[in-house]
Amino acid sequence: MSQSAVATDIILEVRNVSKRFGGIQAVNDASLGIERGKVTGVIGPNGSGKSTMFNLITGLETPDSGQIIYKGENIAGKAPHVINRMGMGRTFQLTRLFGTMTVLENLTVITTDSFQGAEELAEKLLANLGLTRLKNEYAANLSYGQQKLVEFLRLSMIESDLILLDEPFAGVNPVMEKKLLEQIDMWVKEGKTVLLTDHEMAIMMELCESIYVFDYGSVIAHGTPQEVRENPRVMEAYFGS
Amino acid sequence: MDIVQVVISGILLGGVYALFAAGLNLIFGVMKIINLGHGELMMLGAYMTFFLFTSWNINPLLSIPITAVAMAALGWLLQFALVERVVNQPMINSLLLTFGMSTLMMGVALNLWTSNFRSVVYSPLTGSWNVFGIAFSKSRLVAFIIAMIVTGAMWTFLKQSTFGKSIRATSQHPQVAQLCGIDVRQVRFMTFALGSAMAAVAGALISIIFTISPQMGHMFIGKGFAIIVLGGLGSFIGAFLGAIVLGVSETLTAYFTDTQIAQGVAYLILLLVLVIRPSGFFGKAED
Amino acid sequence: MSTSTSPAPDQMHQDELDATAYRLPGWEKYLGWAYLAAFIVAAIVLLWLPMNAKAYTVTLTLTVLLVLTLSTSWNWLSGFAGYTSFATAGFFGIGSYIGALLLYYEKVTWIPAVFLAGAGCFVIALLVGIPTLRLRGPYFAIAMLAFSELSRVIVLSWDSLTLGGNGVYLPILRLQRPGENETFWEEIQRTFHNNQNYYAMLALAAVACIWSYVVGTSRWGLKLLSIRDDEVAAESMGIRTTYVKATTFAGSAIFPGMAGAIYARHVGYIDPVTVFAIIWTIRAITTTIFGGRGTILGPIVGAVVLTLVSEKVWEQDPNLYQVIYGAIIILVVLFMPGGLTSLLQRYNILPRSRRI
Repeated sequence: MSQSAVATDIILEVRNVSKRFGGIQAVNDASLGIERGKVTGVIGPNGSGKSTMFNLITGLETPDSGQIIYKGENIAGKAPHVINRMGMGRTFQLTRLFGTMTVLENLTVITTDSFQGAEELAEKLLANLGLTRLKNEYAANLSYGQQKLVEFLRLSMIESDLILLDEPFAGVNPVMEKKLLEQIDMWVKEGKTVLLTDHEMAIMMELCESIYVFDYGSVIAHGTPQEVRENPRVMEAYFGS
Repeated sequence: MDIVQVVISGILLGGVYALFAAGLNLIFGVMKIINLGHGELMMLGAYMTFFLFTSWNINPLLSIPITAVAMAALGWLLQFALVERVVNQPMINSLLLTFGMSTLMMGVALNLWTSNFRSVVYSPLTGSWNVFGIAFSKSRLVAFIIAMIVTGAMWTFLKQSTFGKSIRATSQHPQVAQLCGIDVRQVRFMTFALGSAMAAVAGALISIIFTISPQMGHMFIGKGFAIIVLGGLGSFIGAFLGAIVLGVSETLTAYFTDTQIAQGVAYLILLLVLVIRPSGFFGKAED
Repeated sequence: MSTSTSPAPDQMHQDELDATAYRLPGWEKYLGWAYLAAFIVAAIVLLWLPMNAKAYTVTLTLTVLLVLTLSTSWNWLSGFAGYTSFATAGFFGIGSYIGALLLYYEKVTWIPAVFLAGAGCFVIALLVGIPTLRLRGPYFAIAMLAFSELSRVIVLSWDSLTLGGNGVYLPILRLQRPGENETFWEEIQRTFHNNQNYYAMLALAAVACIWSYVVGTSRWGLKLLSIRDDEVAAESMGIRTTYVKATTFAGSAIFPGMAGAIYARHVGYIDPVTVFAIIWTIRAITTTIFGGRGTILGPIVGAVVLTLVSEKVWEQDPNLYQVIYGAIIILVVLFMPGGLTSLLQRYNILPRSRRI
């Protein structure tokens, strides 16, 4: 049971994308339609192809077949930095900050505008989250939760219209979780689109307006959290029949 | 007829290259370590043969087991003192470490033996045998046969013996191998020892074909990498085929141009394969 | 609510942060001034050196400056960006030959020859670098090794152009003798003329050091570091990694190229075996990792210390210093991967700044 296709603005459309690694079909003819300005979730058991899907969208992998239309352009196979510059940002499952650089440097290295402007923006963002005193700390010394926050901040350094979050709530305590949710809320208010994947079912059901369910590389369900929760195929995928 | 002779000569040489490359491949497969010192291990094997022959009159073919054992011991020692420490570090550290080893060994050799070329002049193997109108260089043929025997023995050992299976298991999945009760540390030590021995035997064989010098290791490491990259890293068969291809390419190039240019063939192949198809052409890419 | 174990408690409390890990940004500003002062002092001393020193000392200093140029330029791609390269000898040789042949065939005068050597290496580095920088670290290193050796074989074989194994002889610099009642100004001019190769190398080394400072303190340097730390993340964050790597590689090739050309003129005779010898790469690598790769001071300190030591103590035995270099590489990789600068930083002799 999928959502009736109201004429909404689809910022990212994945059309029949497949990806195989050796003997494993990681993504199998998957199609997604991500609406602008909404929070869309992708859930599925481990190994169901969610991360691969993310990598395909952000350019770290090239699909074997299919198209990925972002803002009207087919970005399948484009280099990651090109896609990023088109306004797509992402985080990683395990935080990937630049360990030998400070928090401030981690934030300023990625922008192209003037050094001065970048530093000011970075300091402002840090201040918003109350992290100013970390600005000269080496990223590798930060706690896990702090790293996650800084990764989030990186996304605000460049104008991102579509933000992909790869298991942002993994290993995060309630205090941090609240801050992450606040940040996501702020993005939505700014009109950005969020696509995320996580295993924290309660949060996903609460946060997302639309959910895709993956299993063995295919999309087996799509709809509102309510629809997905009641879908027998989803139960089967997660818990067996 | 000339061309046939050249090609055969190349194949024979390729056999010896295959032995050298097999050791390099083994070490890489098991430990994911690029042994830049492999050429110097070969060089030491060549010099050992030379000195055993010239100082103690030991037949250069009969001295092969001695050289193999001695160099296996050296390999074991190197693993113990140096290589083992960088096993779980990023590949670049082992690259630098083995580069340091190579530099050191070459420097020691230059110091002890000067950069002059030496040769093992073993008279029963000078000249060639004439078979069906094709001249087979005696030294190359014998070297080829011995190289094939040793490589074949190694292949059988890897396939059939228990320890050989441990080695293969470790190269595929070190963690899983450990869970199955395999002492991967011991496997690594033996691997480096075996690899060193193979390089040394290849060196011994080279010494009866060509002149030797402390710089020879430097030339051979390029060939070694060209072979295993051509054949697909980690693939035994691929390396063998790659070695033959290299041997024939070199001799053909030397025939049509000159030996200087032929020395560049390995490097050209290496560069082209890395740029065009890093996973190699023959074997499966276990990268 | 979370089911996986959290790697670290993430309460953001002041006391939990380790104060010693903090860099003190305040006095880093003074670091820049300190460098400037040191640079000026060194410049004055080195400019004045040939006026009072023996020819041996001048040559020794030239060698130090040469190795310093090789090491600082190696450090940009291999230290900051983390792509260990074995191409130094290749570009040194190519630069030597471009410079020497231009002079031999009397196409240009020596200063343009040196610049053309640098330009030639830049272009070749782009051509070679763009396809090979896609490879992962160790494979790139091997490809560069192959490149250096292949260059040697090409130069050796193309003897119609390069004179092959015979080598290229260059005219020896005719030294000016002091005239009668030479004025001080005339003495300066004469010294400058007699030591022009030295001054050329000094200029080159100075530019290399300045550029190292720029790399180490700029956002460009940060981009290089991001490639070293996590190239995938860097690309995902919008950094044009291929462009950054290629330009760094090509830019760094200019220096061994020009150094090679100056070297050729200085010694008056080059052949493929000497200028493509792996020892040039060994020196660049050893001095940099000994001093501390990925730092500004590291290659400078390493080059000065190791070159002086190796030239003075072991000049009796030319092959012994290769043994020593090999041993140093091994020891540094095993026990002191951060080099001398990190050691000094650990004992608080040097400030713990990334601007070191």
